[in-house]
Amino acid sequence: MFDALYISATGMQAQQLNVDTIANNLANVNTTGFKRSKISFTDLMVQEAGRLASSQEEPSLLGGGNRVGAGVGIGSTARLFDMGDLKKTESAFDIAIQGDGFLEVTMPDGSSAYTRGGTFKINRDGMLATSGGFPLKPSLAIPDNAQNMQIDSDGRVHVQTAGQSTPVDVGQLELVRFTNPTGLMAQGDNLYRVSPNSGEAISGKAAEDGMGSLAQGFLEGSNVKLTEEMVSLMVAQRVYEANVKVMQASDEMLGMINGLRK
Amino acid sequence: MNDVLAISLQSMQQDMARLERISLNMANATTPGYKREVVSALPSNAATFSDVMASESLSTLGGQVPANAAQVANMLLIQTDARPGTLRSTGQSLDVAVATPGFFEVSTQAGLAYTRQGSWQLDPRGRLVTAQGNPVMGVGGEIVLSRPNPVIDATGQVFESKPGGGAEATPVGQLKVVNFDNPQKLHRMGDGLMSTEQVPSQLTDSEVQLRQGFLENSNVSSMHEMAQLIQSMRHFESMQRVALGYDEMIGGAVRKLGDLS
Repeated sequence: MFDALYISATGMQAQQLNVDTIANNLANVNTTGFKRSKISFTDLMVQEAGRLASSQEEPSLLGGGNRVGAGVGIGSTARLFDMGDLKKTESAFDIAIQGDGFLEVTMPDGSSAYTRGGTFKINRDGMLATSGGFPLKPSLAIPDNAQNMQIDSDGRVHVQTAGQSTPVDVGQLELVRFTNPTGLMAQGDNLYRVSPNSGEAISGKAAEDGMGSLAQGFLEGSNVKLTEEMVSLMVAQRVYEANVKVMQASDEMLGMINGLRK
Repeated sequence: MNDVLAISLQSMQQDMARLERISLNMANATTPGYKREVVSALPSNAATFSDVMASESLSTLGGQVPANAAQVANMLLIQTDARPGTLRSTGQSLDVAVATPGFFEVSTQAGLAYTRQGSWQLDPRGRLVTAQGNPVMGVGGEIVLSRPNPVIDATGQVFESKPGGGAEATPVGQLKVVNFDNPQKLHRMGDGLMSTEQVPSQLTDSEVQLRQGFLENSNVSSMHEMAQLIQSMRHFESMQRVALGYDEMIGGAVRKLGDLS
């Protein structure tokens, strides 16, 4: 009936989603390895009604080139994978990746997920695993009587067991990277899955070919920037408000039209 | 006798069209690269259809040749306010803003399109694409990267990032930035894209100023839009009063004239 109502509704919806994203980012400000998401907006399809219905030659209010703006839409929601700050924790099981790489994790169904590191543990099968208990790939068995574990920047894992003076090499962690990491699908638990947008995982060795190196005893903080989120929140709220005002105005106008007939 | 009603109806319709543009602008207040649309009504009888057609700089949205003078007031001009928006820092390597006049060229299924919205991504094949997945054109065609976080300089040259920091010395491509003789006459296609029949002219390196890590804000100012909103509302209200008053007048006239006693 009156496009302005629906157009401002799309504006409100878009800002609501924006606030949702900001809320999620802010809630995860202290989550290890969290990557903030970003929404980008685009203007929606603007139809040229004149071109679509060229047979109708009737002049309308806006004339031949009748352009119908349909409001605002969501261009994309992307995860931003810029690095968070590394925090020193001194724990041998805290692993961060300095660079673009990801560690591969085997999920219970046999498929692969990817993580940026975090606090690892030894699961009940004796494998090095994420805090959720999913073993890393390639799997690394840590002996029961291990006393000390050391991970080099290139991913080599050395374990010192009780009664041994020299550490033993138990394997090497491998890293993967993606052409378009922003296209990865977040799965929760700091895990990501491949999506059609991200491209396939490109595997390689740590500290080679731009994969990044491993840092033991460090955790990667979230890459949420408080000031940036606050500014976006303020903008989102104000734009929402403005859209509400436009909607109220449209409503009032419609009311006045109804008032034409007493 | 219908003139008063017809005229007030028309200007009420114009106010509604104006409000529609305001709502479109406000809805897109946070859309990067969005250019606000301005509606202006032509004064009744002041311009004939051919006058409007002759004025090149305005994209007319008037209807067919009007049958009578009253219909001339129907014509609304919808123009794009092409003023640049401010730049916002995002720190993302695939966000690029044009700090000078000009447009990026994007290849879509419907042919080439032009945009100032520079929030891009890499697709699985490593091509530089817009948020909707349309490839961004370089001077020599699509730009394909093998790793994320390229470096883009002010003239649009794209350098692959080197593992371990820094950028390669030779560019993989250069972003194509074009402009038109008459940038007002671009048709909006949605998704921030514009199409045109005009032949684009490629800008030289000295005319182009790109900023990596920035996005262009929309040029919507909420103060402006709110002022226009109030104005349209009040104008609408007064035209409604005119219609009501005229209705009363006619009603009175009919009643009194029919009163024979």
